[in-house]
Amino acid sequence: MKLLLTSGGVSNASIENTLVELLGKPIAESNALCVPTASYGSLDPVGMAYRFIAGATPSRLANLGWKSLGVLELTALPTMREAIWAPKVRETDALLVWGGDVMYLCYWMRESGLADLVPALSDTVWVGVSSGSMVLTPDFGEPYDDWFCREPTTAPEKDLPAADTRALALVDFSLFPHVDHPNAPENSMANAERWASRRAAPTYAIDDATAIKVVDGAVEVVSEGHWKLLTA
Amino acid sequence: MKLLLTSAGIKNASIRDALIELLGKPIGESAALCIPTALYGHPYAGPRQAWRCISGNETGTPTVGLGWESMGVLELTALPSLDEERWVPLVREIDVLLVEGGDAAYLCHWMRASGMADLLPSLVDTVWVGVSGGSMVMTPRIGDDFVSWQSPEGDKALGVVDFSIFPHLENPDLPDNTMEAAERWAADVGGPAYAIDDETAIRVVDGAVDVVSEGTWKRFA
Repeated sequence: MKLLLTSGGVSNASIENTLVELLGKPIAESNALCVPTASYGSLDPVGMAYRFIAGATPSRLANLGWKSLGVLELTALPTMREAIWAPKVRETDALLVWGGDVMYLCYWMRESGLADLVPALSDTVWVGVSSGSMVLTPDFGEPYDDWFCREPTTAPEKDLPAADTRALALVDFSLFPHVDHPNAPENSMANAERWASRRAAPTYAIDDATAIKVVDGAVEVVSEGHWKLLTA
Repeated sequence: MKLLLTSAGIKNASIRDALIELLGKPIGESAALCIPTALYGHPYAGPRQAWRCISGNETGTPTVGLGWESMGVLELTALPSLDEERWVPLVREIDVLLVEGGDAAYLCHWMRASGMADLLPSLVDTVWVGVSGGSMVMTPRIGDDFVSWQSPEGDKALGVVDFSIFPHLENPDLPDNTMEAAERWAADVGGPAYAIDDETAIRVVDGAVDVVSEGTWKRFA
């Protein structure tokens, strides 16, 4: 699987060009499936999923002009016949994984069986937004480690935790999204540094104009904004 | 709860007028949630069809794309893993539920498992717009012809109304949905039943049932 881990979607030409490069063809010739599941764990469990799927978001992802779109609803998969959904996952060029609550998404990645299927999808592009990117990391860190997580706060320092065994760990770095977001003062770079100091793995703190590309284990940052690689 | 049980959504002016009357205000001033869950249970539906319905691009069964004041997705399969206080108040404050079609038995299972079935009696002023399986789920029996998802409940549904529904009557894309097939189906389900085409809806308010149609329908006693 090829990864494009964004904080705020396909927000600029550099990230879009990288997406096209990973797809190996234009977006208009590529099929994609939307995964809205993390959004049910957000403070808006109905509106966010609709806006993502309908492409009615300021963040660009489902609304990039895909050849076709579908909805891969992880909470439904355990009761769906595999013949209805698994071939669609194997055929799709991209999985568009929206944000919300990372712990909720991680739980449903496992419960749905998608986590087990991911390693076999060697040519598929995973485009994550926020929690949809964090879910692939080894360690969410508090407060993201709680179901119905909140954005990071300046909570008191805690002991350095071991790597979170509940996380998927498909990459070997942690991710702090939305750094220095104007609407989220708690997501300052200083807070990102404190958060990163408690992670077992190195942390990429990225803003909404930045994405991390991972192909065959090689990590590259694509950015028109700012970011920092933080090590404990 | 006020019901507008359609075969294929808000297909014509008569059904649209009936919807606006049930809402008591224009569509553009009404808040809606769509329930796509039945789509995930049916072999003809699945991920692509779910996207078309939720995004309002499914012109064959107009619901989401009518120009609502606000729209959200109420995904029944997600509800058991959410705290009730996160979703129940959202359901209580909206005007209409747009319940997409697909597999009625799958939808029925998730209506019960999600807690939505228990919530329905308290939603006195809410309008339920059903499409196909989203209408059939409110009936006492679906009929074995329409069951594809295997449920321990068999073809039994919620029984909010006391009649069964055979949808898509004489739809050219569904050659099995003939009037003869509807007659056999009606004999099988027993009890009162309606066969309705895609230009027909059944309106139920305070137990009073009437048919809104610009097409073909038949009532079986």
